[in-house]
Amino acid sequence: MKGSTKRLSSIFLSAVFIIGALIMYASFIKPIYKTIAKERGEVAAREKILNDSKAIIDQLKSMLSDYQNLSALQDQISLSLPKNPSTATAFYQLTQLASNSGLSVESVGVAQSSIGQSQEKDTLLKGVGSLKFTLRTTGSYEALKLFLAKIENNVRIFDSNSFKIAPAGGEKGTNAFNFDIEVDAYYLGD
Amino acid sequence: MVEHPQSLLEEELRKPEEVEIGWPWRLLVFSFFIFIVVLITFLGIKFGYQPYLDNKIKTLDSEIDKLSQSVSQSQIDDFIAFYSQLSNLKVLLNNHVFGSNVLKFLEDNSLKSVVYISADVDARLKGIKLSGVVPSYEALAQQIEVFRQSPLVKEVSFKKAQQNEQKEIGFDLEISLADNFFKEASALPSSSNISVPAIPEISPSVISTSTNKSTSTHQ
Repeated sequence: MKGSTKRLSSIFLSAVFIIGALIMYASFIKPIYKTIAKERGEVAAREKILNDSKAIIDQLKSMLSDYQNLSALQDQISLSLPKNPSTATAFYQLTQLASNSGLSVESVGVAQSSIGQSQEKDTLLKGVGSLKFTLRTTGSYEALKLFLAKIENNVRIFDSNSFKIAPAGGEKGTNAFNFDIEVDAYYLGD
Repeated sequence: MVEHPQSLLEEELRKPEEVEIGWPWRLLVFSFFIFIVVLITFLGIKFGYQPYLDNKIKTLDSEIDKLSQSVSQSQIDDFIAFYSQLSNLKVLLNNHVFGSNVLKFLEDNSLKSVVYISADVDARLKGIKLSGVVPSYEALAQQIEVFRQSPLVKEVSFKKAQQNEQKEIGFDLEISLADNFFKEASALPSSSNISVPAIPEISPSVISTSTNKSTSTHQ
């Protein structure tokens, strides 16, 4: 074979290899590299999830073991903020507190409000619902004072958000008053 | 004629040109090497790295599943409920309303001559609407000043004063209370040591145009 033919052949073959390499890169390596990059991202994300989950689960297990030992506290907390409205219980407690304070309960109204979101920015946490009791009572100033003190210190949280005092029968100078008292009671929403 | 020895440069220049025939082979080897590298890279990715990554993803998924099953959903639900109770309880206790603070405030900050007829307390708006009677306009002005000086009061709005048939002065007041007014009583500043300035002769006209910075009049 002549030298020039050899040269031409080798140049042709070189071109074939280079073009083949370019085609292989463009058609196979580049697309698969995208897939690989995506999969590497998925692996990194899953590893992060796994590590975070491990940390959370460890913490959760530790808290759960503590939580199992806090049944008395759970009961106590459920008295302060029950897991359901417990309307009848709240109604009974309020009327009992009023009569024990010396107030005469004329009427009680109750309205249930929608459940608000938890104030903490954590979507897992449940919100709080409230029951608004409207009590119309009569009694002395001291009885009102005692009643307010009692609901402020009650185990179940009651907030006396508003109250009106007016003389009973519209007469001034007597120690008999009409009290319109709004009390909010709370419960844990779903 | 003297012959000069030929210089090395001349000798080199006189040599016939040699055609380099080896370079295309080097190009061929180089391009083949490139091709092989690209091919091996592709095969390595396709049959080595990609299956390895796929397998790793599957392993991680199964580990995550196993981990999430290590705690039962009911345990998690119970715990979330408990944690929600604690968290919400904290907020509720921080905002717990002590309505009796109003009564204590009125007891501590009222002149003996003042008789209240009615009161309307709103803890959300942090305000009290008071109606009552006093023996004189002077006493009313003094009472307003007592309220105004309390650190628990933001503003006293004087609404109305009118003499009734018994020559007493009936009045309506609106008191805007400090933000922490309805917090637990022990957390509030005491107003028992406030010195009430003696108000000299004040005529009704002065009351109706009261101008101090925190007392507004709306007659």
